[in-house]
Amino acid sequence: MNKKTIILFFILGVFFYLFSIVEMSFFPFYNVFIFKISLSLVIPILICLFEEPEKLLGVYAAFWAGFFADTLSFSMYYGIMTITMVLAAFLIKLILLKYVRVPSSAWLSKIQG
Amino acid sequence: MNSIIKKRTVFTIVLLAIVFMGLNFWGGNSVKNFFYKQSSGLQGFLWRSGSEASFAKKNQEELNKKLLEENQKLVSRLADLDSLKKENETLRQALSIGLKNDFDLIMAEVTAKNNFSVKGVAYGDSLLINKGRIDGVQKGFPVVLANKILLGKVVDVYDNFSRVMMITSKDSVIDVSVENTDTFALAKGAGDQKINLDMFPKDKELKEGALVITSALGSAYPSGLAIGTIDKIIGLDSESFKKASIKPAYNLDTLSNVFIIKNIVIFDE
Repeated sequence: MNKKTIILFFILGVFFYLFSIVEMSFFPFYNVFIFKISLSLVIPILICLFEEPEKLLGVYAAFWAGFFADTLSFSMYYGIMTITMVLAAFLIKLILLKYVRVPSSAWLSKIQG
Repeated sequence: MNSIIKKRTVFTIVLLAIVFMGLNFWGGNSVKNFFYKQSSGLQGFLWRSGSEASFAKKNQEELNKKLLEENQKLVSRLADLDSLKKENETLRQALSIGLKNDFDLIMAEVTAKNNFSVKGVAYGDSLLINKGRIDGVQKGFPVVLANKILLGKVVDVYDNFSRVMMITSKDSVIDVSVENTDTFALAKGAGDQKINLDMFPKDKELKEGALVITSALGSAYPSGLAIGTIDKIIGLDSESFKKASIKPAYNLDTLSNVFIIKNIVIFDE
C-alpha cells in the first residue's frame, strides 16, 4: 500500500461513516428507494462492477460499508457484514476478471488500444 | 508476485475473520458504544430534522382534509364525552391509570432507525435510543410512548445506548386482545412498519377499526398497551383462523421521545 492508497482508504472510511449516520438517522423518514435496501451496501458493489477489476477501491469501500453496517447498524453478529461485503467484492472482481466483460468507461482505452 | 498478493489477501481475510469473531465475545459492544457516542449528537440532530421535515411535508392538504372530517365527527362526540369526563377523572384517581403512576420510567430519545434487515443477521425495524446500561436499561424492557402506545422492547444494551426491536419487526410476536371481543390473538410483525393479527378465532366477529391491545397472557409486555387498530381483515374462508393487518398506533414521523418501562418482571421467552 502506498501513501496515496492509505489516504484514499481512510477518506473512504470517513465517507462511509458519515453516509451510514445519514442513512440511519435521516433516510428512515423518506421512501427514497423503491426497495428497502441499504445504499451504503450497494455503493461498494457498484464500484466493484464499474471500476477496473484489477483495482481495489471497491474492496476498500466494501470493507468500510460492512464495518459500519456492523458497528452503527443493527447487525446481530459483529463482523458478519464486513466479511460478507469483502468476500462479495472479491467474488465480483474474480468473476469480472475471469469470466465477464461488463461495458465500463474505464475499459474504453483498452478496447481502443 | 500474483501469488504473494493472493496470499496477502487470504491472510487479511482470515485475520479480519478472527478479529471480528473475537469482537463477538469481547469488546464488540464497547466498540459500538464508542461509535454511537461519537455520532450521537449528529444522529440526534438528523433524526429531529428528518422528523420535522417529513411531518411538515405530509401535513399539507391530505392531512388537513382528513383532520377537517375528523373534527366534524369529534364535535358531535364532544358533548357525550363531556359528561363522561367527570366520571373518568374520578376513576382515574381511584385506579391511578396514568403512565407515570403505573410504571417506573426512563425517558430516552430516538437517534436512529435501521432500514436494512436480514432475518437472523440484522434486526429490521429497530431503533437506537440514547439510554443504556449506565441509566439502568436492561434487555427485555418494554418501550412505550407517552400515551401508552407500545413501541417495542430493548434487545441490546450498551453502556450509553440501547437497541429497540419495534413491534413491526419480523422477529416480534405479541399476545394481544381485540377491543370488545374478549378474544386473545397474536400480533406478528411483518417488517417494513407493518404488523398483522393472527390466530384470531374464526367464529368471533372482527371489526375494522377495533383497537388491539397487549393482553395479560403475554409475559414480555404489561397488559393494556395499545398496539394499533384493525386495518384490513385478510382471512380466507378455508383457513381456521382469521387474519388482519393492524395499523400501528404510533407515527414514525413524530417519534422522538420514548419511555422505557423499568419495573417489569421479565421472563425468558
